[in-house]
Amino acid sequence: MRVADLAQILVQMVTQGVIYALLAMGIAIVYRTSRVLNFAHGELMVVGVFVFYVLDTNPIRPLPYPVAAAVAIGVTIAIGMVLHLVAVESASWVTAAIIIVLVTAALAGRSGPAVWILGAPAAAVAAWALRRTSVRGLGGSLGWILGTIAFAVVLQEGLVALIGSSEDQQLIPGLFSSFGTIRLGSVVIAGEYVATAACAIVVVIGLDVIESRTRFGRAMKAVAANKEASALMGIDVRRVVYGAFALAAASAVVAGLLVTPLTFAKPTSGPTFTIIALTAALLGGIDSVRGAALGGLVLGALEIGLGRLLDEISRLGGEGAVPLLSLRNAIVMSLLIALLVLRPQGLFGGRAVEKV
Amino acid sequence: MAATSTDTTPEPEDTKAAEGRRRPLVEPSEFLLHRRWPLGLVLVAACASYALFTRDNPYYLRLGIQYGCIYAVVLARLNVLTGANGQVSQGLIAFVTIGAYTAGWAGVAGMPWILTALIAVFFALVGGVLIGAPSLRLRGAYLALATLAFALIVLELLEAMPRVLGVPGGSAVVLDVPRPVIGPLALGSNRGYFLFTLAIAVPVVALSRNFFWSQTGRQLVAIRDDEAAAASIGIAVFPAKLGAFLFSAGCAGLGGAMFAAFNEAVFPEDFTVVESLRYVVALIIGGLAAPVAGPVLGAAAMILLVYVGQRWFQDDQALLTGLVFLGFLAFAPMGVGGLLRRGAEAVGLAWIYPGNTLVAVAARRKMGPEGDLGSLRPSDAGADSRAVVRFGTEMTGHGHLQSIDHPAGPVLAEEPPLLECVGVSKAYGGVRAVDDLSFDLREGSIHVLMGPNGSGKSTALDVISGLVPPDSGRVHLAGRDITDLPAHARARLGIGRTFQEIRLFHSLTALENCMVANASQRRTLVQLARLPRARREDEAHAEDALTILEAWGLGEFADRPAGALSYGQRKMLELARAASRHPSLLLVDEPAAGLNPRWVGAMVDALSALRDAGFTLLVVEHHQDVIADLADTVTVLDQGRKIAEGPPQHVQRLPEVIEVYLGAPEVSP
Repeated sequence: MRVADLAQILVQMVTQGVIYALLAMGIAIVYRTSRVLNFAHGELMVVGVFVFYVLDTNPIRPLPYPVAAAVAIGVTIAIGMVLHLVAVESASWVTAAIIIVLVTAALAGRSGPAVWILGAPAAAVAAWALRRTSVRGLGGSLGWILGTIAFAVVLQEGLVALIGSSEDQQLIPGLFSSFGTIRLGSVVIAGEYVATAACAIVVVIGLDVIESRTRFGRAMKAVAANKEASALMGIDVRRVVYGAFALAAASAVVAGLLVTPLTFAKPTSGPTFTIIALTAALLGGIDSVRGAALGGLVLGALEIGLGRLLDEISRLGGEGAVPLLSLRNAIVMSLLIALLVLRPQGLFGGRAVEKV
Repeated sequence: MAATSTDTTPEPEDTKAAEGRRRPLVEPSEFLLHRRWPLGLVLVAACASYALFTRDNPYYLRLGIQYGCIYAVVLARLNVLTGANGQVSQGLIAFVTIGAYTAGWAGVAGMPWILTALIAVFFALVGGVLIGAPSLRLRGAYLALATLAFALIVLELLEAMPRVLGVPGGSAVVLDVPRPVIGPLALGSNRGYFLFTLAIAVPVVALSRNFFWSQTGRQLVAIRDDEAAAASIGIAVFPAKLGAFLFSAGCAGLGGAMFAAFNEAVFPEDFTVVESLRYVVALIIGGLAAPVAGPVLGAAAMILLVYVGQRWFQDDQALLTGLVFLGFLAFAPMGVGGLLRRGAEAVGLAWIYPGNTLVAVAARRKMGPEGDLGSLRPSDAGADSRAVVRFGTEMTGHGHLQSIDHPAGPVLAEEPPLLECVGVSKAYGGVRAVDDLSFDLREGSIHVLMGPNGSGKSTALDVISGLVPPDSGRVHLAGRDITDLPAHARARLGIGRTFQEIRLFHSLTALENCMVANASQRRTLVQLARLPRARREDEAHAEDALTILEAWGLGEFADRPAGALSYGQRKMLELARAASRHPSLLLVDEPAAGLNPRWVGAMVDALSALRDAGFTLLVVEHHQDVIADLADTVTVLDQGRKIAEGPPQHVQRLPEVIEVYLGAPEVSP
């Protein structure tokens, strides 16, 4: 391996690591305040990316990048709050409205938009009628695990129904796609990666500042430590929890906007990113935002590094060698299991994590 | 926190509870339904008619086999694991995959079907041990994630291995898997194969149902509700969890084998995480923890969902599934089974459900038709102390009280004390919760550990009962060193305990809370087959438990979920549960905490009645009145150290004890 290659690999490792850190921080921010592991995090990211994609590249009225990105972040934040309403608070009126709207959308796709004349008012009536009902959910961790998973399925499949293509990969336009290469002597590095990494680092630091320096961050810490006591101290716990979901959703979209131009995106890549985010967060320590960020960094670097290593090993075998690269994910997952069993508080987590 | 919020438990609740609900526990028609096999017969008939009605329509038959029978087998598994034991495992698809592939390969190699099924189950079990043994210590979301990771590993390997191994075509496809041949019957036609899968599904569902109605099933629920409390009544938590996990892995493997032979081929595309999720959706629709309805209605719902989806939602089938999932979680989280049960309870048919019938059976035998349970109201005085004494002596008289095998030394001048702690220390972080604690405890006495908050009393109990390993020091029970034994083994040796924050199994009824503590039980397999003697034993357990509850003044609440009882009743029930095992040493943590004066009196009566009945008690308490009433010996702890020991009147006057309680200048906050 040449030195030039090495530099490029290092840059890739850092880029992937920082983006994963961003994803993992979203998981940790939500978990700390609400003790919920968000199994829909990746789906939030993908939905945000596709909202942006449609706004930015549609042939009718394409919006400029910053406007489209801002709208996408706003929409995803709203969806993140709905996620909390539906999956954690099990608010039946929201669920009813979502179900009716999406069924109408699915039917409208086949029999024309006239269905909405019935569907839209039906959704409104159902939501109004059910606004006071509350059904006792499954309760415990089972409730929110299944709730967030169900919401993730609906998000993904709703997106597939709307976009209409589940397996087509889309090239998402990136801010830095037009960047050339950087030359330092014999070393050549793709400028796009450097810029992406720099941008992600800024956002990660921003999140950390919000978490550790602002009033809202302190409120989140208080809620994480003790909900009841925080409420007695005058903190609006519900608002903090919703704020955390919003912050997580926004950071997910940013991560998505940074990572998808480098790879590709399809409406069904949500679960992959959910697992990445959860793995990274658990790797570092779910109960601390900084720990989760470090976990993301390690996981991203590990994936790139391990992939490259396996590639090199198979290349040593020459023609017809076994393509070991395909084993990469299996190896990463095995590491996750080992870590969960041996050190559930994560690599950087200080105290034993509360087993939910 | 529990103590502060329940401090104010109002008395009216007790009286209200006692006055309301004076309904008969025995329904006349219950007798007819006690033998419940007709239900199974109906089930089989319904499914068989499905086969007849659908004739040779290959589409309906496919649905019936794939989503009916095979789903039912897999769901039965999921129901035991998630419904009863509360484990959220997403590794399901891994075991189905393992089963399908091993059975497929074995079938291609020419083995008879029964052998391929056994191989599938075997390898699924191997996989279950591989992932279950290390990760079952994890709970909730962590277990879900670990098992999901395992599923992904299996699926990734499935995709990667053919390429790594250089299989031509690069994908793991198994073709020409033969259909089973049983004697002269070749099951080539789908109609034949449907009946075949049905013949497998019905017993598997029945077997999993029995999980819920047997002692084993109760133990699984107990573990789900509270692992520490389960260990304190002698349940070996880890083997039980692993057992449930393996049972489910085996079922999933069997389902995979059925699937492979049905398709006569195995394709990797059939096994995805999404497919895994479909099983969970089906179970939620059918009813989580509904023993029969869960798998059966879940499978039926899946047939309907697939049919409707393919008919009207061609491209959006997955969306439909997701919406139905979300809808059930929001509006009927306990599924169709739960709705049916609620409906049955609303129209007074609750006795259809066996849990209640068990109570009814026991109640009828005990009470006779004229039985009046109202005479034992807890509001009178909590536990009826005379009844407790009677119960206690009865048990001792029958030799039920667990006796410890004392080392039989003919020249031993003195028997070893029942409990002996030698230099026990335990630190949490930098705090020495218990610091070099030594004390003895004599048989047949009440020994009180007293001290201010944070003096290490509860930690001492945790160390003695085995929930927490000591940093140093030894614990001896009747001369035997038990320091290295786990909690459930100590419970089986005769240590019972209650907890400061009441730890009942809140989703079990009061009766079941007592039943699950019963030490004698048959082998798991005998129970699961629900052989007559297992059933008789279960009824005997129910009777015993009811006797105990009556003695403790809780008979009327036998069929109430423990979580629905008042604070004082729960406290009493917890003590009853622990005492029902007739432990040779009973550890009682703060019996009077949070109780109003009347309940405190009842509690003191109950504890002294237990002593009179021959029990030995180690009580943690700091109510001075209670201590004065109860204690034979008092050990005073402060900051983990023993500062005084002796009879209560003596100890309570010692200046150092008064100092600890009232505060001297240097310790006052």
